[in-house]
Amino acid sequence: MIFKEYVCPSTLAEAYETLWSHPGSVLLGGCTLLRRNTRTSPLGIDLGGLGLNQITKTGTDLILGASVSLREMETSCGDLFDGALCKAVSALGGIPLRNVITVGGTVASRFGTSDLLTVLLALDTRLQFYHSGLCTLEEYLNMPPLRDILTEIHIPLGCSRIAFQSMRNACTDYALLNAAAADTACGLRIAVGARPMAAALSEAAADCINRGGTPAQAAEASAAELKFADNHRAGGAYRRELCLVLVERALKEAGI
Amino acid sequence: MNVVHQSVDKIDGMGSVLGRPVYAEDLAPADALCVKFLRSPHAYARIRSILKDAAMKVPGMVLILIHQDCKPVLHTIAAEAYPEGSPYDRYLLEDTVRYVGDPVAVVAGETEQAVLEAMRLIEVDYEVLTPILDFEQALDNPIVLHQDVFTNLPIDNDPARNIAASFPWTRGDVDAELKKSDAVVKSTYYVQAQLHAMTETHRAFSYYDARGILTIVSSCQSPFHVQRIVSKTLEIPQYKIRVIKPRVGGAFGGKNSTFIEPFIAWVTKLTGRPAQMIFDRRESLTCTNTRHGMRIRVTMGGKKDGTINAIRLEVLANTGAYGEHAIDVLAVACKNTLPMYAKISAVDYYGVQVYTNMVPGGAYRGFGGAQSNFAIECAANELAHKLGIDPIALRKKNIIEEGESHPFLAGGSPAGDAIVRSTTLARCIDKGRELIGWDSKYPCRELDGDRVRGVGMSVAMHGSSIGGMDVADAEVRLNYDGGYTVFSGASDLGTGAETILCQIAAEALCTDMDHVWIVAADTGTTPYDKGAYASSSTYASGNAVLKAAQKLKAELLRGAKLVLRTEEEILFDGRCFQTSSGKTLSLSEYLTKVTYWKFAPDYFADEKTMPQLSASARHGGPTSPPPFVAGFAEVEVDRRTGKVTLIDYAEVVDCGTVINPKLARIQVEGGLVQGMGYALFEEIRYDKRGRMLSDSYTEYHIPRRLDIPRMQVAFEESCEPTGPYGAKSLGEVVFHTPASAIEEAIYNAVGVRLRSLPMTPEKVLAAIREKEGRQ
Ligand SMILES: Cc1cc2nc3c(=O)[nH]c(=O)nc-3n(C[C@H](O)[C@H](O)[C@H](O)COP(=O)(O)OP(=O)(O)OC[C@H]3O[C@@H](n4cnc5c(N)ncnc54)[C@H](O)[C@@H]3O)c2cc1C
Repeated sequence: MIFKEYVCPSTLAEAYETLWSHPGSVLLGGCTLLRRNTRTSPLGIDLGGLGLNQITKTGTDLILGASVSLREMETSCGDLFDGALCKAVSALGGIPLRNVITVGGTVASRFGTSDLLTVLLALDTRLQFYHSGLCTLEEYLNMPPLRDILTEIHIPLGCSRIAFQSMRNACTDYALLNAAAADTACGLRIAVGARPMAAALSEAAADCINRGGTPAQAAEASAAELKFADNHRAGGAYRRELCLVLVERALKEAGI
Repeated sequence: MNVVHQSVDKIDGMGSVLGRPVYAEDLAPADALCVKFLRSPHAYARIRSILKDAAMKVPGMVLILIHQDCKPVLHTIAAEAYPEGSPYDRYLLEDTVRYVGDPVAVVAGETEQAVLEAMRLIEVDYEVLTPILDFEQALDNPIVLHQDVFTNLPIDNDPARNIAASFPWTRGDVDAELKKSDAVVKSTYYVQAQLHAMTETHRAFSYYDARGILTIVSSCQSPFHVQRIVSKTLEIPQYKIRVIKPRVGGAFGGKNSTFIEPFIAWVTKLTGRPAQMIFDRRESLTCTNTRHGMRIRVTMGGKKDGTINAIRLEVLANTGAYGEHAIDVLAVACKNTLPMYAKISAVDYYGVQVYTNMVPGGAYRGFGGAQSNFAIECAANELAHKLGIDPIALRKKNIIEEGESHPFLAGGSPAGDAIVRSTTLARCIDKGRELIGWDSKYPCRELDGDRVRGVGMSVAMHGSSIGGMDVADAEVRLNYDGGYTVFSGASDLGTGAETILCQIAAEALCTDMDHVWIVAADTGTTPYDKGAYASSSTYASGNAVLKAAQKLKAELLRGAKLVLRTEEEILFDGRCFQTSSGKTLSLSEYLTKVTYWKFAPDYFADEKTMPQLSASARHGGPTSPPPFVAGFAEVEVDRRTGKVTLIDYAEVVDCGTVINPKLARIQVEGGLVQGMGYALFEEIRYDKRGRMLSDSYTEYHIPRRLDIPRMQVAFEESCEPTGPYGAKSLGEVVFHTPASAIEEAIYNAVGVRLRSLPMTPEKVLAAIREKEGRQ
């Protein structure tokens, strides 16, 4: 993407005001996705000066600022959530790329094949937007485009076990399908992503387990419930088969 | 040997990684015009009109060239020895475009921004035509791509049928022989096109030097052929053009066509200005050339005792929009693969290249041999299973041995078939079997209910330069400072070829690497060389350097006798001459005496005067001695996802003498890695209108470190009597085995055959499901 002008505001209020007062302006995270866009925009708004690069823990939540890089998240949150956050980004390019990509950009862009979104969804993540306030990741994934600034990502610490599975043609290629199963404070959550549409929860799979079903039965329930589509990396029918395997394996790995 | 056979560091390695200004772009004049192509968005179209007035008004615009501006000189851009086998089916620019990305206009301006802006303002009116985007539909299709085609050589082309070239070769009666076979395999294999994905994209710049020589500095593979093509297309005498190849950041065959040079030279010719063109990654991937995709039908018959008695190969290859290297690739698919099995009674080959509206095929490491080797080796493995014989035993029963001949081997004549004079392939197979742990792993081992590991193997051969075509000259000079300079037209593409040539010269002159310089790949200063293709630099260019260095040494001994005024036998250890009676003369004393008048005016006075010594020599021969390899793969297959994970790979190589073990090892590893990507995931995708979708490294995945298993590389050296110090080639043969060895390992693990590359998890799972359905 080509920007005619560039600003780096120092307050959120200023950033938000600029976003709304300049039609066509774009928020800049790590710019890795934006870089591949060939359009021209009148204004790029750099979020790097807002101090959103903190990683903090409250009694209940892990809070990641939107400007935290994937690498910072990996190196400081490795011992949390059975290492699932690390596992979810370990195949994303290499370390140099993960030094640049922001957590905020990754979540805000709702990238379909994202591994991280699947894990965050299973963990019942909440998103803090500057103007619209708090919402669940699930709500955000189903929302029309939102012209607001994502400031923080809140991940509840109450998850006792989580396992993540992902499948790709080659190691750092995009995922063909991924799945996460988490035993959270508010119950079992099973998420499947890269369908190639963005991650979605499978209520049917969780219900199945809650009613005493086996991981294999739960996997069948998720494959029946969720939608899968073709893209040039794999067909929808194949993705459905992968769903059977990955959900079962995630549940078994998590000991559920 | 002191220098040959040593792991000498690449002479330019450190300089290149330290960022010294050695690559084309580093060397370009700062005021070079920026030149770009406006490219066709259509796979097939006729241009009705081009309006460039608005574009020319952009500040900083200098020149826009379109088809009406160019003399219609039919030519090929394949940079290969003259007379080229490739059909002449291109003009610089034409009123017809035949693939998405075909150049429509050459746009030159002061800045990149001006050029990009201007490109948006050029109005092209296209009459869009229906393209051919399926190569299996191209033959005799009512849509025809080319009318004007000229050929230098009989290549059995037929533009009206979309045939760019065809190549038949037969020995014996295959059908009669197949009736005698106890088992026959008839299989069809699909091998896909592939992108070169070299680090440095295509680029070159041109300028007039002080004297008015049109000078081109190009990241290319064959400066002499570039010079000839530019001369032909622009009608400038060859001697008024100089082409220099600087350091090159990878090529793999992809830079063996003149995509850029004639166009920038044209701009320089018209404007008098330096001009530079740099392809961005997208252009480099989608608008240059690819490995030829092919469909290969194999019929292979075998007898109970394990003898392969007949093979038929029918190749349909996709040359894309133009026919660069079309015939050569068909020939290599025949000559560099089939001679491996020598006990055969009948062998039959037919290959045809068809035009389609897709990105042109071109040279790519393996050059047809890679594709047909995959088909032959998969069929050989299928045959072994059908006959109930271990695949290793089948190979050992049939492979060509030292002293054996084959009708398709390069260098044969009506007087007799060529023979193989060096091979350790049988030993390579034994060694690979041991390295992979075949005896304890074959055919497979269960890990858990879902995962199983299998092993598979295959063998391959290639050639060393093109017999009966490739010529390399070299010159070696003794400098008055005590160093030697090698002048060679060979093109080092980052492979270490220049290091190898220096090693060969140093060895012959009993000196060390420090004392040998090389000036290479510059039509203005170095002797002719065919360039870097056909695995020829070490073998052919190396032979020329060796002969020249040996000649120089003989001259030097003669000179020392003159200075010592002796007729005695004389020895030279690199630093000092010694006669049998004990008279000595150091090299530096010698040089002082023959260089400066004051020391010994008498040397200059008489007839026997000794000028600065220099010797030239040439390599050019009918043969192309094959290197051999045996490859062994261990894979893990997940039965439920179809995922194939590479666990271990052992490759054992007979490249004759290993001139530089370190450089040889990285050649092998690099070739294997490219072969693994080809086997498992590299795939070029097009949309319905013929636009290549694989236009970045996120859309075209090449192997990353994590995709690569443990690799064990070993050498079983032979000594090739026609090679420099016994060396053969190495660069291409190392690409061949992974795909077929992995295919066989998958079969041994889960019992399914994957006859279409790449073997993606989706295809593997579909094959497993199909097999379950049959049971
Ligand atoms: C080589 C490569 C490989 C990749 N491989 C994968 C892969 O395997 N799997 C995968 O899922 N993805 C992959 N990606 C995509 C990657 O996930 C995205 O590029 C990355 O997450 C975007 O993050 P960023 O910080 O660079 O965002 P940016 O590119 O800066 O922004 C992305 C979008 O989010 C908006 N945005 C950014 N920050 C905020 C904010 N705080 N509030 C609101 N909106 C905001 C921007 O305006 C923009 O629209 C790959 C990308 C590359 C370049």
